[in-house]
Amino acid sequence: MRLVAERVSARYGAATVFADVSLEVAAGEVVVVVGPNGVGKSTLLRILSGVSRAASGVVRVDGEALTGMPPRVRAARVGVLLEAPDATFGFTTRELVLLGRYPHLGRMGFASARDLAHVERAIAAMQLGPLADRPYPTLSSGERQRTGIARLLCQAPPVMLLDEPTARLDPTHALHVVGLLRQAAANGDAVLAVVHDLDLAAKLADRLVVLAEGRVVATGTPDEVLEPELIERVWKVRARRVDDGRPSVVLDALPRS
Amino acid sequence: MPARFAVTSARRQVIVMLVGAGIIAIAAVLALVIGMPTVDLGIALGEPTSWQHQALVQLQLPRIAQGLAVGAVLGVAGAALQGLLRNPLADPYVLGVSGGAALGSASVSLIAGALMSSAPLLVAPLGGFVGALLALLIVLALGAERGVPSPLRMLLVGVVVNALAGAALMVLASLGDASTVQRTLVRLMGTLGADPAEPLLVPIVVIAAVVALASVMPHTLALNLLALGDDTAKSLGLEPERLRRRLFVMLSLPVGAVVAVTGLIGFAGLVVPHAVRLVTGPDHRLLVPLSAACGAAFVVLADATVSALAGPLGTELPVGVVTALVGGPVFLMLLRVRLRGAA
Repeated sequence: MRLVAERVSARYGAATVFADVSLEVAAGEVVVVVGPNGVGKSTLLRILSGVSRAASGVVRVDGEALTGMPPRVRAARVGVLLEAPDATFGFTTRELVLLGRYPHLGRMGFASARDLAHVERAIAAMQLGPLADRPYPTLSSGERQRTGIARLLCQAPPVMLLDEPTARLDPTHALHVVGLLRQAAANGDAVLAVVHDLDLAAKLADRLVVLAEGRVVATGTPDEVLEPELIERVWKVRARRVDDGRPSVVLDALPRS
Repeated sequence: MPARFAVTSARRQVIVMLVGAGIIAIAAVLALVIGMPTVDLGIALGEPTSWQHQALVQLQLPRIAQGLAVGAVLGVAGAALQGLLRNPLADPYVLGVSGGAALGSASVSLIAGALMSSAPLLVAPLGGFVGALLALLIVLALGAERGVPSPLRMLLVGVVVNALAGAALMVLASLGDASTVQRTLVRLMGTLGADPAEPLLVPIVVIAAVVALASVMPHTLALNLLALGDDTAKSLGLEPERLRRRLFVMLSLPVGAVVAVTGLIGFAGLVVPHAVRLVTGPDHRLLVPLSAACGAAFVVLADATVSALAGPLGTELPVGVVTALVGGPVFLMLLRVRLRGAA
């Protein structure tokens, strides 16, 4: 399945957040959007997932506009991990992960054996077994983040969008998530993530999209994009590259002028 | 083979519904026994010509039916509003919805009474519906930040709506005679009791209970989804704003009707879902039907208590006094927990 954004723009009140952003993510690849704070990466993700509407432009899945799709059909094709919400009521981890099956449930809304198998697989994939029957409000922020990813895996959409999937995770779990998402792409899913950490972005991405100054300023493989000059221009930090199969980035603050 | 765990199944829902039916049956029998202390039930049931039989059939049974229906509406509305607004402190009374309904029903009854010799039957419930809906829309409009309901802000708006509705009711009452003032005060406290002169009022509240359950039950899974927040719920294929609009209208109908008939019975919609959640967990597919049953039992037993105390006290308290005496402290306790969590 292929997700394509054509000349998408977003506004916040009268101000333009970004304009004419075009990008695509195809089955089997991981695209990572990077950029400084406040350039609209999360807004872009919300538009790509159908949660928010673009001021102009269109998002299509396999040629079909997202806005015209019935909500549950859209949700069966495109899933998104947004910032972990505050906890309301005492749903357990397992119950929240199961809610990811909502687009696939029948009219009565009861889970089938297949749905329950999806839940168990997602819980195992995110190493949440010991926490599965704990109420969500008792989880730490990192555990909530892993629950959110498990919920998305349980939803099993062919197009997965993730806003900061490694936020609040320790290095072990962050690298585990990177491996998991790369495996999902290898299995044929289309994965698009917003990531702040350039080093993790380089490890995760097949292609990088750099969003800055209200537009896409660069796109390409991590090797092509993560040049010290571009990093300094966009993030105002000094960067060194360490190439070890995939490029790694070491950052230093710019000397004060 | 997945591990054995508690996920709601159709079987579990049926069991919960059967338990609910059992609770209603037991509460009804208890209310019959407790609520008629001066009547010998043996005579009332065995001698069709006795005054006890007449009291049972014409007064007590309709009153029990009314109490069950009103409690069911309040239980369902409380559970649904808490889920819809992601607010464990929501309930029709606390949010000012019942106050709006009381004002609406009183206003239209007064106007209709002034225009014709007696107000048509459905005028008061319809006025209650309009008042409840308006109050709910005000609470949602002023209690939301950037379109997302804010729990504590909604409570504050609810307090103001309740105060305004109460004040307006007193103004309306003062336009009438002393007995109107008395009736209005009693209405504000909530009172059950079937009036043989208006036999259709009991069927109206029973229909209200059916409407409340039939409106909410198809959306109980969607209510679960709202616990994830509006955005994630939307990404999973739900339309939160549409669901809220639909259920607000559908809940305003029964809440408006029961308030028009019985007045303000406070806190039942708050306390009951909280108590039920301790047993069922937060899944609305179990919570809503059992809240209906336990709400019915709570109100009907509170009313039976009021009847039983009428002899010793020399007067019959409004049932709303009993529900408020139980519910008020529980509300304060929950508010304290919530404020501590927010701090």
